[in-house]
Amino acid sequence: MSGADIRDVFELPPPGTVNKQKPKNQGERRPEGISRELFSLLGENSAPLAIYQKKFKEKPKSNQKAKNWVWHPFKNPARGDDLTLRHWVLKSEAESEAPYKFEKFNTVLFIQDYTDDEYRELLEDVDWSKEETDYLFKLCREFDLRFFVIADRYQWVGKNRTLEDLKDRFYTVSRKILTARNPINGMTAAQSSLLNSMEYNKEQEVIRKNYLVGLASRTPEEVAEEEALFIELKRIESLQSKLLSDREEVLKLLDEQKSTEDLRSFHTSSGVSGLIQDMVNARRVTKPEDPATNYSAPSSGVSSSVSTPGRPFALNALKIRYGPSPNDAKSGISWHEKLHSGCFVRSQKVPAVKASLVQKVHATMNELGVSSRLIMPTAKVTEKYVELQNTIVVLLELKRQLDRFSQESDIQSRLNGSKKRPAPPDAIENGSNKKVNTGSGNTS
Amino acid sequence: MSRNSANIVEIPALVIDPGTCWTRFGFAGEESPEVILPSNYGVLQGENGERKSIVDELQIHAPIPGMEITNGINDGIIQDWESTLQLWNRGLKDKLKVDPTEYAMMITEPSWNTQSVRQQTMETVFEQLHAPAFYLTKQAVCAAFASNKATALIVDLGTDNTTVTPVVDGIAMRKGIVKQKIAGNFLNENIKSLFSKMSINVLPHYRVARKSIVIESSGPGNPEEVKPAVFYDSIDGLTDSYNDFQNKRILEEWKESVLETLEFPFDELKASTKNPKHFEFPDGSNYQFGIDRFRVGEVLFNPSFAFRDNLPENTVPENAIELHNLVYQSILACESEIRSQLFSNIILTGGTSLIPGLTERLQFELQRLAPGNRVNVHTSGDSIYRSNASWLGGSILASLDNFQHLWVSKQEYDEVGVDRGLFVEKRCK
Repeated sequence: MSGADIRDVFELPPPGTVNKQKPKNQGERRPEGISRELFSLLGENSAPLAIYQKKFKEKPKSNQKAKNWVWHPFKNPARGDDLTLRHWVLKSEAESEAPYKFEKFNTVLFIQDYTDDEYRELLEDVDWSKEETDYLFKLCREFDLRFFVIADRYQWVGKNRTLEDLKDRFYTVSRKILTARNPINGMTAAQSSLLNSMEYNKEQEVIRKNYLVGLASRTPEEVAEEEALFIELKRIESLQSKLLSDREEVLKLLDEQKSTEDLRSFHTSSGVSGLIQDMVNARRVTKPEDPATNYSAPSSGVSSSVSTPGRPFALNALKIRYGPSPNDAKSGISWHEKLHSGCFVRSQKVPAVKASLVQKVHATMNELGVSSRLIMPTAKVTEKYVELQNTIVVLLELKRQLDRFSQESDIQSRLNGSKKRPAPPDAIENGSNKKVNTGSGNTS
Repeated sequence: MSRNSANIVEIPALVIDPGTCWTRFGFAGEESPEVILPSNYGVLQGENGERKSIVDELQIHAPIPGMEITNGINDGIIQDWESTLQLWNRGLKDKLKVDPTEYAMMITEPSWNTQSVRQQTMETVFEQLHAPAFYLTKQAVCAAFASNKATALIVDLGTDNTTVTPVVDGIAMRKGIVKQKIAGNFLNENIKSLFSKMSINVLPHYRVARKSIVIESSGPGNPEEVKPAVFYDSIDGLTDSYNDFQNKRILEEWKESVLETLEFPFDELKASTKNPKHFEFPDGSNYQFGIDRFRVGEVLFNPSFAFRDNLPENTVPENAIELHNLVYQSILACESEIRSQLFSNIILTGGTSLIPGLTERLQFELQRLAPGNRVNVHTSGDSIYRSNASWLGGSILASLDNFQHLWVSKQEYDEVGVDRGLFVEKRCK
């Protein structure tokens, strides 16, 4: 193989064309003063940025000067001996000679002391010897009147004292001494309050304790029963107020309340219309009004100045000729409250009953022997059907109210026991009776 | 001698909390004891008939023929003062490296401590250790302080005894203290009989030269290779107490890692739904423990569950009752007014109380016993605080400023004279 062949294979250029010029361009010329290695780090080959993380907390900086503490001896006045201890104290405080700041916690309860004479005169007791009383007082002083502990540590030969016994004896003795030394009239306020604080009724305390023990040892069934009763009581009480307000409403509704006003107010048109509006509002609960009579009432008031609100009278006086009216079955005209557009199926447009009552309504209808689905839905039939449905709804509502009220009144009457409370239950009964009467004629 | 005021470098105080299993030493004001030494010590008969005591936490484990392991504390109360003094010296001078003459000494005692032992404690501290000041607190009161309560019912489940102490206003009520011997040691006996029932031959650590190793299978089809354990020859002359002591280590390990109580009364079905735990013995053998670990834990709440067949005759304590009944008895012995407060402040302390599920179970059982009251069982979260609760309470107490006037100083001790017993009773309530 010749050189030319090899050059061919490797696609080398012919030997004459060797690059003589070295890349003159060395990149930038490094400035004077920087070492070669350093320069190579700058520019394109600069070192990656180091992220400086402060792993340690800042050094705490305090603007104040360091305080001066002194190893200072001190005495505790609460101690019996002269034990001198030392502790670290601010220099300023040490020099001020303040008293030991925990001394005030060494409170001593004020417990009376009695002389032997006083004991013989006042405090003699069959059950308690003098030594035992002394022992009791010593313990009281030692344990700061913590009676639980005193009762625990009380050990007197031959006697078994309960906590109540100890308390009773202590308070009796203290009271007697106090009253003997300071007659009641001459006592200062502090002393009389101290006397009052020493009231102790032993029997009461014993009874109370037994009650507490009984309370604590209830079985879980009793606890559950108590809770249930409690909840029931709460419910009754919360309904009380609601009951009363309901009652008020019902009474207001049913009384025609226009008081003794001058009849002359009804001579004017506004007076009459006002009265009629009131009556309409009162009656709207139980009976939907005939629209025709509503409309004609004000106009009659306008056209005549008759004293009584006689509507047919007003109409007759004017001899107005009317065309066919919806009351006349021959005319085929009917007035509706709700108008539907387009054509529709009458049985579909029967007003629906509330979902919760549907079942009951249907049950009642079945009882009455009326089927739930209309067989021949003519105008009259659907009208009657709707009327029936409405009355059944009213009936069910009233029944529910009646049940509730009778139960409540039952509970009330049992609660009150012998107390006579004629008004509320009767009023409610009457009210509900009245309602029922105007409804479907069923009485409770 | 005229009354000199004793100049004491103050507050530095030491707290020593001696227990049946461990004795704790430390500085007052710290969170936990610095030094915890086992209360057991070894006794060796020298050639001349002298008794040499080995009071070192490491050396007592060395298998030396003829060394008996004994305990200076019986039933929670210090009985043998010579060994106890040695132990305290070791703890204070060698381990804690303090000079007892410079520090006030706070010692804790069990609630049922006798007056004579109290007196002896005071005498030892003043005359043998030459401490300048001294005080004696009840462990139950300390535990209550450690939980930041002045009125509480402390249930201490320790090694030897389970105690219930009512503490009212910082003072233990003597009439309410009840205790029984169903505690750590009894559980150990039950575990031992469980092992023998399962035919597990337990060899203690000192016999094992190398554990049995399981070499994982190198590929499918090759079974695992088990290299058996290598044992040292058994050493003649080792005492029974030493053997028991070494076995106890394994039992304690088992207790700490595997033992558990069900949160509801024992029911086979419920127990079997819980995951079994495995335990590796010193020789490397692994066993799974499922229902049985709950059975052992149930012993506390129902002593009839004890493994009676294999237990030695006299280890089952007489008149043992359930833990919740014990607590209930203690509360009933107190005044009715304080009972509801005690019910809602029940504190569990002691090493044995670290058994998982114990707190919930106790709360459940107690609420069932006393439905009319609100039952609340408290425990500190950290296990260190629970097993060292009484030491911690002592540390708190000794470091309080208002406690400083209650120390019994050497001066007062010298002045008392003969009636030291009554003096201790009066001063250290």
